[in-house]
Amino acid sequence: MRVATIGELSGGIAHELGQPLAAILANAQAAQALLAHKNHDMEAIGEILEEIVQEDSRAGQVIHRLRRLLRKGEHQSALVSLNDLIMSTLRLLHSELGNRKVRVETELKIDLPPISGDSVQLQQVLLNLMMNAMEAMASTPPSRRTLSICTRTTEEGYAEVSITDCGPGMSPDELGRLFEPFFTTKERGLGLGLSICSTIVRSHRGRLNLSNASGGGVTAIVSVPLPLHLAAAS
Amino acid sequence: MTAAVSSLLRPVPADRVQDTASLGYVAVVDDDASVRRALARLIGAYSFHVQTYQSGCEFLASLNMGVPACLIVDLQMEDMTGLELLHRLAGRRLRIPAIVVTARNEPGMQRGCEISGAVAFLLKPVMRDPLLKAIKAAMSAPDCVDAQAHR
Repeated sequence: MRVATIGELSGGIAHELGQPLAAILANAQAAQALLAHKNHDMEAIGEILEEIVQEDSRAGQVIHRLRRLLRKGEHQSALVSLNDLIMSTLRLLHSELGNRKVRVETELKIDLPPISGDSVQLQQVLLNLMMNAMEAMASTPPSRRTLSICTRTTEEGYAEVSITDCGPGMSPDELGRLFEPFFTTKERGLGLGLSICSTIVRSHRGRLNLSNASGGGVTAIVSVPLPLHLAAAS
Repeated sequence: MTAAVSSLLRPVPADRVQDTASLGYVAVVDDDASVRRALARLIGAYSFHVQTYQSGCEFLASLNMGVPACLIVDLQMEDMTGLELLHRLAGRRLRIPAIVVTARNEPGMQRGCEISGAVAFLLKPVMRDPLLKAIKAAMSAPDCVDAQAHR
């Protein structure tokens, strides 16, 4: 597999990112302590700031490497059936869904035209969004834990996948910050899953949107343009 | 690289200084030079004496010279992991209160470290307050007395 699962990727870079972040934080807090103690040692504070700048750029390089890695697949495009991809992703998640007592409801458009893209990358997006949806329902009573997945085509010539959970939904602030790197609502999350998903979707000239669903919970919508001749036919 | 007492900071004003010298020193073992320097600065800014080591081996070798009152160790290191270091210390019957820090919290890891003698398990990046609290707790732990007596 060209792209490791986002989970693996996140785990692997957790340490690489954790080091500069640890250094930045400890340096910043050391400077705060110096100032709080009225110890205005400008040389020490200058050194601290210099290291914060260096470590920040080190963290940035990790992200750039990750982006380059994910963009490699841009040219590996083929016709992909989103419905098939959803079903194979659900098979991958079969035991996870069982463990978490999550029921799945699908409403897949039968004659959904294929899109042009990288099936491995797109599967990572679906996998990540479905995992997020499952995790969002951790505090939902088991009888109400339903993951709804729908596909459709839009008048603008896009194929759309929507993934809806029955969790508590998100505050406007959280929704506004979802694509910020490192923003996470999870206790142990790294906060990179959605920014990686968004990068992948955009490299397919598509869009990824998350909003609160009418019945509570969150809906994630992936829209990818249909190839022109297929868009006209659908 | 030899271990060096952190001299990155000038002393804080006398009225702020706690009598930390009698408490012994804090050892920081991390194979990342930037993290090592930054942690030494932070801990040093709160008047603790700090010594830094770039590997478990370097730290073990230093024990002939003295035993720290508290050990802060990164789990993920190239040559000897933090957990291996804790095992080696246990093998030498050295009970130094250890604070484990890691950027990667794998299931069961915290438990494994606690069994191996860690008194605190902190996720990187480590915030100041939990870190200082853990250091103070570690330095007043009964184990600390054993370590001091071992010198």
